[in-house]
Amino acid sequence: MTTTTISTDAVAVSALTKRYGARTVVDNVSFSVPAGAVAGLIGPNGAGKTTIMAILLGLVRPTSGTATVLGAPINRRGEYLGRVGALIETPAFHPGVSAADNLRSLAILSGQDGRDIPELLELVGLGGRGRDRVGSYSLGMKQRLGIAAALLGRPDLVILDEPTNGLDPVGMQEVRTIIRDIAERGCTAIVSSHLLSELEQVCNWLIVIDHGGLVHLGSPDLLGARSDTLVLRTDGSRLDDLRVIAGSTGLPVQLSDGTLYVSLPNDADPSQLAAEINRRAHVAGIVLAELHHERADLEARYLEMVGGVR
Amino acid sequence: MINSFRAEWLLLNRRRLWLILSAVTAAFTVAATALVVATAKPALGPNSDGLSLQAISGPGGATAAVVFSVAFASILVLAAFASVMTNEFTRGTLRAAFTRQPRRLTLIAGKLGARITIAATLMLGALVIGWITAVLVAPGQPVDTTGWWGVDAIEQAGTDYLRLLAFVAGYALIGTTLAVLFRSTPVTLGIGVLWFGPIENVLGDGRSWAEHTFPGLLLRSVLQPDRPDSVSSLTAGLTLVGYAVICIAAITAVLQGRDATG
Repeated sequence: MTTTTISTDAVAVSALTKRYGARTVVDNVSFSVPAGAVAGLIGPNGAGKTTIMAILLGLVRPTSGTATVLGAPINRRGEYLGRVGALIETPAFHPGVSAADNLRSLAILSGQDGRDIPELLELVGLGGRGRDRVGSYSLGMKQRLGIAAALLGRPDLVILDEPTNGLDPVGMQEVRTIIRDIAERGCTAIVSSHLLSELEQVCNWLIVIDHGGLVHLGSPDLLGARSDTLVLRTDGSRLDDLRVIAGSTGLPVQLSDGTLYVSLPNDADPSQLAAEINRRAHVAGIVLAELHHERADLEARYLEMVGGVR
Repeated sequence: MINSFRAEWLLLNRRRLWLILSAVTAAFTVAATALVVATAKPALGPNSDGLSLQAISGPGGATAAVVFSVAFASILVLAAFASVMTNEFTRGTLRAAFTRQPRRLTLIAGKLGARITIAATLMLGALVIGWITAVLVAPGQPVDTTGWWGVDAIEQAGTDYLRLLAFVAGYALIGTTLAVLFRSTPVTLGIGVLWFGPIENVLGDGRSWAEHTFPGLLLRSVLQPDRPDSVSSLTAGLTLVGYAVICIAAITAVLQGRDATG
């Protein structure tokens, strides 16, 4: 899905700020999430992700700024909460009550009949455990149940706060599958994580925040394209000659551990450049042992943005 | 509000919970009733606790001990309702409910209604068990039990039940209000127990102005109108309605004005 095909915004946030005393948790953040998008709200721990989600759900009042959810302003949450499913902070259930009854109670609160509960429990891998008390569940199972709760009644917008917390790698993969399934239903999803690598496979929209401020908004391609490289190796000889040839393209070239890295600009055609370098190396009699296009590592780019270590 | 009530009822109406609550209520009622009836004295001094033999003779005598015992358990009633609500804050279940029910006062009202319904059922059971216990213990005391049977006795039991309900509902609302205000179980219980225990009963004991203004003492007047220091049921009821309005206003203000974070 590309952003150009999306005409309306499921969520629009404008100059949102939240302060607790002297501490600014969300700092003048503006962004939008197109309807039908799977948006990753990415940022380090304490960046303000949960606060932004809580504001969208009407749980926290912003100090300033405005936001609309499914077309309704957040100060009129009654107009949209019935169409929103959420897992915010940690999954919260009554431990002495069965998983199915916990979901049924939440469904009743929204005026739903809860007929989709068995299907949702199956979807999150708890099909055989619905009658068990939630108190007997592991953290990962509670997390799955929280996702099921968020999907009750087929909402138009799903907000999931760190849904892979407490899950093993298999569980994480299953959550990604569920998120894809949400998108296929035509539902908009906002999913937060402090790890971009968890979400880059499923998100088609990224909101990167750090220290309460927005540092990136748009498709994942826009985040990573700036650092694509061509990787070149010879059979061990004439590396300096190859470096001169690569440099003749006018692009920055770096040598590291016997490997040349040619940084590609946004508008470069990697295949064409690779073919040109290969042709010139062949003319110069240099044998290339390796030549490939390496897409930018989104996680590394994200870490650069939020001041982490590459 | 019906949805909020039904959602809470679904969580509470479980066999395990009923068994525990019924067992605790039955044990408390049997022990308290037996003790009160067995220790009833022919006449009470001005500062004596307990019930007189005269008080438990005649219509309503069989349920008087239950009413008397519940009056002493007011702190437990307050603590039960307060801690159930603070637990909802601590666990985050109230926050989760807020994401599904935008009308927060309605949500709280539905929850409180379901909880009071449970308490009302238990109170009904307590009256029956207390009646049976009193009948079993009475032969050991010079009590005239002929008035314990008949229409008058049932009418008096009905009145006692309504007074019990008002008493429990009052403490339920106060406990819930304190829980919404303070959110923390230790803080809520600390303030509740301090106020409705020593402060009201030491500061207010025997003082007319306190009997007319302190909510716990007013609730006691509703439950035990025959106490010598009780204010009239009408005065107590009207003042308590004022307190209920204050409680609802406080809950509304807090729910609307404060962030609902975990």
